Amino acid sequence: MTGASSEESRLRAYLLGELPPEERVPVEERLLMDRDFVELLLILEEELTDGYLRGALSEQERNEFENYFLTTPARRRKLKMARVLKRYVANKRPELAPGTRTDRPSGAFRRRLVFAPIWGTALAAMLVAAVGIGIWRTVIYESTVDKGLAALRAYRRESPVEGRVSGFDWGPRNETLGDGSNDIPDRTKLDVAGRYLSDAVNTRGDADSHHALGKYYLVKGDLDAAIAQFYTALESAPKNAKLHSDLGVALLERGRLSREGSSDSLPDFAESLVHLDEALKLDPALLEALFNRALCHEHMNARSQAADDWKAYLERDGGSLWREKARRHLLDMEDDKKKTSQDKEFKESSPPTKPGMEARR
Amino acid sequence: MKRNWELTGEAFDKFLSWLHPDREEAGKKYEDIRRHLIIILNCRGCDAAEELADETINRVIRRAQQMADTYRGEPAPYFITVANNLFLEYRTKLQITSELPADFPEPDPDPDDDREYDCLDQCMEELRPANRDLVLRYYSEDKQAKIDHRKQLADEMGIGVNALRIRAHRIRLTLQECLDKCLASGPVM
Repeated sequence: MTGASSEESRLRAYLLGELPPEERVPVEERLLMDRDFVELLLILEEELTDGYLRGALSEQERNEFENYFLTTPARRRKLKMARVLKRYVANKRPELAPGTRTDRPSGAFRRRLVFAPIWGTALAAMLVAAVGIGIWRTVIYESTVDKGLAALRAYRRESPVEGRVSGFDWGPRNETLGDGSNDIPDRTKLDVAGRYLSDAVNTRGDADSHHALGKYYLVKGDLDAAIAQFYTALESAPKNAKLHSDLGVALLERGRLSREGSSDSLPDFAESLVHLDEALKLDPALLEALFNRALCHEHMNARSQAADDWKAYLERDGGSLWREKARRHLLDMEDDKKKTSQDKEFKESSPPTKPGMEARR
Repeated sequence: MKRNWELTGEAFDKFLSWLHPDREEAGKKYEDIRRHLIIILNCRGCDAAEELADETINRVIRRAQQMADTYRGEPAPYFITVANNLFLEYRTKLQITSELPADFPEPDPDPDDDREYDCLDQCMEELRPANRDLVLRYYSEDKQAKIDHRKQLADEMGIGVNALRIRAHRIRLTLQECLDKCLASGPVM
């Protein structure tokens, strides 16, 4: 299977449904007769599946993977297997000391213990050690996710996105002319955060680590990667309100940046709204989600819903840095509303204009 | 499709000799073709891949009775054409019986996860220690670190990276089979 790179790209395209029929047929004819080629296909299937779980696929590949590749039960079974293998390997990394290799004892090991009373003393000692480790983990130990998030928090003081990211005490982005902001981002902290959080995804691969890595990408401005990480986290934590809210922010930001107001941004806004609604359904007191939903409604020109959300937000936010921002949004919306109705009244009361007058006004 | 056609031993023999003059080789070829057809149909997004693969072979056997003596070249293109036609028929039938498109696969819920984990744990215990170690090491790193790590692992084993990739894949296939069996049986003790 040497020199297989062009073959591999073709097979990868075949697996993702990218090949046109005239290129697909020769691939299938070869697959039918060539065992090595089939083996390569199966290897690439596994690698694509692992890449999907790691969030390593591009946005387009991820869509193709979900909508084309994953449509058969056999492949969904493989995805399940890949997910559990990933978790298993993360728990049993060979470089870790035996006592800390896994957060759960192996099934076979448990079976052996049950049937071997001679291990009673050892079991007691291990239990004591486990309690000690438990105390250490909860009281003293700071996980790589915590360290990464602490570094990310220290990276800057103002939110780099328009919405509110959960768990950060940053203030809103300063948008005054001439950039009156005194927020000087510390890029070293961002790099440190990236290292810790990537490591956490590689070693733990759980919802918290994917969620945290998603925040890192969001803050960094890599919105596609952030969204991919949040979706991966949602697979194992679908009831996490903060996760839905952060995914909502990422989609909102992507929609806002892709030519605001154009039809291109509507699917992102709509998807964002679904996740923000879900976040508020799961936790109605989550202020970040309420703030983000008000913004989302505003971007979608759903003015009365946006005004309701801003009012609800102002009632609940006792005095965070974001309260003033919310108040300004509501005032601007009310000003716009007044201006629109004044314009309407003016137009209705004005005599018909001569051609060209309207344009000059 | 002639549904009243019955597969006879004679017809199957003729089909095998069309695949290969040596009966043993022909048998192997037949097994490969069936397995590969299932994989191809899976790649097409067919969730009844086994049934369609068998039906494809049945149709080819039936046609082989008339054309085996005159057909020249590899049989592969013929199988692919028949499989394509069958797949199109299958898809049309599916569209008629269900107006809705195939559902997007829901993310697997977690309840089975612990059982899968226990099953995988049991399957890993059944591997030879060297293979178990290979799986743990092969899948343990990410991105660039993973590439370096696999290179180092291949060097240690005295084989190429591609050979290592194939070896890991074969062990993973064994694990998948073991996992499927374990999940189909009772709970893990």
